Amino acid sequence: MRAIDLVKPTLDGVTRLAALISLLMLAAMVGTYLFEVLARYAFNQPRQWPSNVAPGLFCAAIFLALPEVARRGEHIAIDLIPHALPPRGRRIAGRVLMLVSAIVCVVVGYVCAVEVSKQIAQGITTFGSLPYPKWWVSILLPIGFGLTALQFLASALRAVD
Amino acid sequence: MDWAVFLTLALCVLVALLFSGAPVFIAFLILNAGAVLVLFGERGFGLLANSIYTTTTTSGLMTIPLFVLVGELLFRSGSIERLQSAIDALVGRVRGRSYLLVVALSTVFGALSGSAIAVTAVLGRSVLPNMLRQGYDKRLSTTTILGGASLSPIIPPSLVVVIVGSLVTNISIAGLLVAGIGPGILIAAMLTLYCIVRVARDPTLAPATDRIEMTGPGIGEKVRAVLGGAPFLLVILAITGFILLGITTPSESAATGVAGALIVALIYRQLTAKVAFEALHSAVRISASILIIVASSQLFGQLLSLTGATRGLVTSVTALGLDPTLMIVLLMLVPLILCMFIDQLAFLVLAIPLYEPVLKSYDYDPIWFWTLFIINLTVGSVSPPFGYTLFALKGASDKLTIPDIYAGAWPVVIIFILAMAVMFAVPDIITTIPELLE
Repeated sequence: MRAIDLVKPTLDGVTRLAALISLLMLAAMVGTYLFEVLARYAFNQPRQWPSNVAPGLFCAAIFLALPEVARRGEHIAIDLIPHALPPRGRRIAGRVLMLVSAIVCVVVGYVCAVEVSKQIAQGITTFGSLPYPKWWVSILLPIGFGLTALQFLASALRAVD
Repeated sequence: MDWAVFLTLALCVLVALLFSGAPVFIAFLILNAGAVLVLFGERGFGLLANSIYTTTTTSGLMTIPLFVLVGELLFRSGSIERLQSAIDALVGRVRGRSYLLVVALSTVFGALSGSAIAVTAVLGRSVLPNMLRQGYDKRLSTTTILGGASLSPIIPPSLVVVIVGSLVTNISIAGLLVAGIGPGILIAAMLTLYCIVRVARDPTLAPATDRIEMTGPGIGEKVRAVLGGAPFLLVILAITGFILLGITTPSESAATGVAGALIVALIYRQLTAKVAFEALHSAVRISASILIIVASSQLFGQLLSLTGATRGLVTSVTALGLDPTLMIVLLMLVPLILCMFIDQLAFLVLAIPLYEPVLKSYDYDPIWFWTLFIINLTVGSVSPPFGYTLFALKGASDKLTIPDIYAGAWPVVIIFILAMAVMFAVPDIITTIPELLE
């Protein structure tokens, strides 16, 4: 059995779990905004935390869904030229693109991780009425890019075999 | 590095990467990471990380996943079909009625969200599959969706208008907001007329069921149809009503819209855990595929500014000392071209301080000019090959190919430019309603 076939189920499981958390974050965004509206108008008790929490939920919803989008091959691309290639050329181009995409995501994920470590070291917090450590949210960037890189890599390796 | 060299190189690299078939966000990441490395060395990488972080925590963009979710819930609950059925009953004998319906729907959605991308995503997921299943022409359907969605930054309430109104000095935000009503109605009418003419000239663009001669529905049937689609009004009221009354922010309104969509699904007895799960799952995937492109490309606009490319382009244009008519054409040409490549907001923030002195020296009516400018930005975002809205539609519908979308987008670009020419010749279309406020 190929190594990728051994690893892929675990990787896909983690990716699906991330997507599940992502959709929960979106549901939480809806709930947060509705709570804010109700608290302000129904109970005349506006709260500060919803506007502080929503950006984190939003960021999580995006970056935790990103690997699932890669797993399903749903990322938007201009595929005019690859589609014009013969089948063999299309397969090769597809592998190269997946591999390049994986490398790019690793690099950008690393860059984001460096920024996160700086934020932790310097104790940087978010702006707003209820500031909290910025890395609580920004950590989602390297996680999202890292997992997406693995999905692209898995796609490239599977295509090779 | 000289800005002209940077801009030329950057555009060549971007075009090559995009046409290689790489995911669009990967193409932008390669370009931006490479440009940062060349311009600032490794220490500049922080710009890239911060740009992505800032974009993915921007409150204005939070409307997008919420509106996508509204569309997903409405589609899966069947309410879109009910609404279409209601309209079908009301305009039973109009050939190609779904084109007219989609223009009306997209105009309404656009008036709710202010985000062409969000509206495109909603319509691409909800209405478009029905139209294609019924046999409507792919490209004309694309035109109606892109055209209708492109009204969203124009018709009030519009986020872009509020941003422009906030940044431009000595201009009434309320005046600028209502200034969009005339142009919005004009462009919607032109889109409708375009659809009617196209279908009249080529009846195969509408499905066979449209061509069947029917006896018009009776009053009772029409009332039943309207009542059948009435719950959908709850969503519109939950969003529009609250925005227009100033009760909620766009994101909050979008969330109340989600609540409205859930209630509609309950009324139709089609709200199940499966429907909710699938709607959420689909919404996060669509939103992620759209927003990662926005996030990855944001730094490009900043780099254009940092290298002086944006300023260089604009000042080169304005230094020509041309007559007012030609200057307007050039001032509109710059955003038209740049907004094919960079985010509207990034361009707005850069262009406003540069454009303002020119406007004063040319004595243009500020409300008239900035309304045209906003319409122009919208044209840029729907222009092939790189307009954001095009990618949003591609992300929302796997039934459309990029050539379909490009073919559907060109009539929208032409209609909008024609409408701008009309508004240039007849400024009253823009200025009459704002003058009523004075």
